[in-house]
Amino acid sequence: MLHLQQFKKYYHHRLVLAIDDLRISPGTYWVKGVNGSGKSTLLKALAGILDFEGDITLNNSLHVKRQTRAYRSLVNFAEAEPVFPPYLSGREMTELFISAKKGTRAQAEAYVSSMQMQDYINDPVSTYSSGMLKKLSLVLAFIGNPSLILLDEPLITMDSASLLVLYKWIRESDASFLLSSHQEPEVGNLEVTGTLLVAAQTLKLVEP
Amino acid sequence: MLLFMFVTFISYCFFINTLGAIPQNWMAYFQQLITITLVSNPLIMCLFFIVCLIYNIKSWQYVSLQLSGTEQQFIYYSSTAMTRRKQFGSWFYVQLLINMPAFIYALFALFIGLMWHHYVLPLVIFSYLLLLTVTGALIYVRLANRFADTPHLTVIPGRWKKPLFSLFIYHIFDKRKLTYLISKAFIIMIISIGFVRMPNDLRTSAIAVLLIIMVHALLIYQEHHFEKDYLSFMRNFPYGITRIYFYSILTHIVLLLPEFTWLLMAFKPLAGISLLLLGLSMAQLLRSICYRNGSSMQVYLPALFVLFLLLFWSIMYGWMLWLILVNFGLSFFLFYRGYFRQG
Repeated sequence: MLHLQQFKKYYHHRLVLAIDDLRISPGTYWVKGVNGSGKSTLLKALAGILDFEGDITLNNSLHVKRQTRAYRSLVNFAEAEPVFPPYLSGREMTELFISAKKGTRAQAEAYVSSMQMQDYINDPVSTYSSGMLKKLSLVLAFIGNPSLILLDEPLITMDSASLLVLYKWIRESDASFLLSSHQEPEVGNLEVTGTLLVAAQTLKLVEP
Repeated sequence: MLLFMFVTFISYCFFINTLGAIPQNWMAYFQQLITITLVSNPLIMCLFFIVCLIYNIKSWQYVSLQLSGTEQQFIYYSSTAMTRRKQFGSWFYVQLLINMPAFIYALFALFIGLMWHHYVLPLVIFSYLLLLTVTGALIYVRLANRFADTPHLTVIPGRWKKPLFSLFIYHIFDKRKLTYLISKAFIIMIISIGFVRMPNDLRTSAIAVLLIIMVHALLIYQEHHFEKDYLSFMRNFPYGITRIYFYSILTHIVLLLPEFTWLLMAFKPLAGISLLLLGLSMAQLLRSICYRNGSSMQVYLPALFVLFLLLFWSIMYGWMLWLILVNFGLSFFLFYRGYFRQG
């Protein structure tokens, strides 16, 4: 599914993450690491949002730096602390993502309903609490037909009922997932293919 | 910005060189005269008071705005645990620093007043400044200790689809109305100047277009930061760089619609379109340099200054049409190199 080659990321000339060669097969992975280890950096680079040295290939054919449109149409991302234009409503944000990711209104509506967001989806995002923003960002990440969904800290600020809904979405989806979190998903809720450990400025795949 | 303008104004009053009509050895005398007038004439003193009042009101507004920012929220759950006296002391110090230029000038005025046997008005000036400073401190203490109200929401009416290129325009009407209005006020001043429409020399009109775009430099800088702060999700959208660059053009067309309309109406079609394209290409170039030099104002401003000089002299040498091509080409190149290399 994913192939990282000669991956290097620097912040102000300081090496944050370096991965020589790593292949990740399809599945659901937990990205684990201490604060500041580079988990968000990794996910943002995989999403095509952050610049880096090296290459990332999806499905053996789509390089993030060469086939940018095709790559981004198959990779979705939800930020740890999402920030959206405050005057837009949640509905307008879903419309933007439906248009960009070639999703459908019915698909978005289904996600909104299952997350119980109908009461405030038409309100401006500036009125949302952090939990509501997180739910919206998760809904947006599932819109379209992605092969890979990257969820940065999806478990924070979410109530337990909403977490169960998220796990259900992940189980029912055909996409692969990379979830970064300090807490391990509860056993029984999610079948994790492996753990990606971010430590010592590199990434290691730990199979269960 | 406020402090800078105040200090510049006062420094200007002291250090401006006249046009040579006043002999050099009289300069110190005239500068003293200004201050003597302040400490001896109640009318001049009142004018000074009005200026100080406006300055202080602006500073209170500025601090209130800063206090409502997310990065200052910690003040509401930390400093409020101190005694009111200590809080007042801290905020008094803040306002004292803001009023420091005025106090320094008041001290100078006091010194001059004592020299020329004017005792009352210099003390009144000092007392007035102290009163303004105390008032400011009390306002800040009250602001920091109040229960926060529901923040005012700008309601953007209409449930029509808001295309991506229009989001910054909505942001202007939500948060940047003042910047927009001040920019447009400057544009009206530029357009009103008679030289901008000299019939036989399009260069003057092109210089006017350059000035118009430079007036929008702050808005363009804010556009860059709006995109960085609120639209980072766009870099995950499957949109090619050409499409995103085209969206940027559309944004600037909407932003500069009044000016572009004026160009098309005030000039012959060919000249109007040329000037419009020149303006648009300059706006695109300013936007694209933000990807290299837009991280902070200290980096952006010098780049802007250099760009202004290059564009100005290119126009003066009559390279207007070439400039359109070069600006668009260079801006696209910088955009291509910079958009996906952010972060």
